[in-house]
Amino acid sequence: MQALLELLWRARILFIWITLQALSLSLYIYSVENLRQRWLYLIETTTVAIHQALQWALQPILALRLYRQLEQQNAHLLEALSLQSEAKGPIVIPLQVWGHLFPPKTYEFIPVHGIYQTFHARKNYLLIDAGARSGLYPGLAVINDRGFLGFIAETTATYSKVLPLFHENVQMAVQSAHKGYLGLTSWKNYRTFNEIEVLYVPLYAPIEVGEEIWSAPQSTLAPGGLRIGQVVQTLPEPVQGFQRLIVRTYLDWFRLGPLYVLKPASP
Amino acid sequence: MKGYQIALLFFLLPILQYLLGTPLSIKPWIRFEPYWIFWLIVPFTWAMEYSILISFAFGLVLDIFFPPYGGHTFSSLWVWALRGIVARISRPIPSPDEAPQPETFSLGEWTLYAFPLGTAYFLSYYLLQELSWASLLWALLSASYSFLGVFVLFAIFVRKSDAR
Repeated sequence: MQALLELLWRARILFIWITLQALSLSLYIYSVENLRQRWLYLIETTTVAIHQALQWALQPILALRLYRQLEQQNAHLLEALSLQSEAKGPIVIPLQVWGHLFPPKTYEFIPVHGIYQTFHARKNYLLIDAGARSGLYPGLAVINDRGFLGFIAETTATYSKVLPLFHENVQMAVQSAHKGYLGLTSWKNYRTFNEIEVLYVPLYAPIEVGEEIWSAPQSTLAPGGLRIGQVVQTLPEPVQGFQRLIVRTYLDWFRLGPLYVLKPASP
Repeated sequence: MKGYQIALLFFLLPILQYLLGTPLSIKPWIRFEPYWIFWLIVPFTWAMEYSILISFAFGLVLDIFFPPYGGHTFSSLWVWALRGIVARISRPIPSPDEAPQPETFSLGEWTLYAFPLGTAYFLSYYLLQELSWASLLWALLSASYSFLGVFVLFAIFVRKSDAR
């Protein structure tokens, strides 16, 4: 006991120091009413800063993931809308790319991205980032949200080459929206982007400026009823017995946007 | 230092600080607070119980002038606890029984003695109130600036003429 007391006596300064420090700290905490609030604020701001930093770092990845999800959703939506054409009665599909002519089959919409396109060639083309591995094959039609673009000419495992209407060797059967007069597109002698010629339209066909042009059901390149563009000029050629139409396409070759490949759905 | 000189400093330093601290500070953050010279020159020859209580009381007086209460007291007790160690580093003393005498320090020794303690004081005082990088930076700058005042006070009023 005496040894303990002696030890305590020797360490008295330490005890006094600790006591006085405890006293001054208590006084401080008591006087600073919002000390706790400050501490909580510090924790909160630190947490927010960490979250913001993480969000900033992950932003590109999250955005890309969201973009892919939205793209898939769009594709499913397009598929679902195209299925509506199986219903009986005159249903107008609320989809910009389809006219009132129903496609004979249902189609799977595969979202793709353009990775390269030419602008000043006679034989323009577009490369897309999907190929045989994604189930694509030559002959499939490619559209964007405005209208018909072209068709797949070649595929590799991971890429495909799309020939658009703006290619001098591409010709496709089209029809006028109201009366169904047939014609053939051409970009051979009239090379203006976002415009095409429609040849071999009968001279007697009463086609007016502003009328829509759709892909014809007889076409082997695209399903019938895909919107292509509007007539901006009619050029009768009595010597040949046909009239020539200048059509401004809905598709803008300089701003393609999201692209989809129409693949016939497997039965 | 004699007792009456300590008593004089005890009363005068908080008043001087109150009058001079604000005009001499570099607003808004670099402060001029040289009152901690008091804890550096309380004689080592005094009994420790006595000197710790004097230090505690001086801290309380400062707290009355400059709230929040308790901050100066808390920091001053750290200066009090560390000053013996720093003084012995500044001027090694052959005998452990011999007490260091700050008033006999040369200006270089005083710098070695006062600057670390002043910095420790400012860090403890300001980081107690706000734990942030800005607070750390301003505490260091305030300590450097206030040390100039402490240095002048020491050189004019405290240092003995026969100091090395």
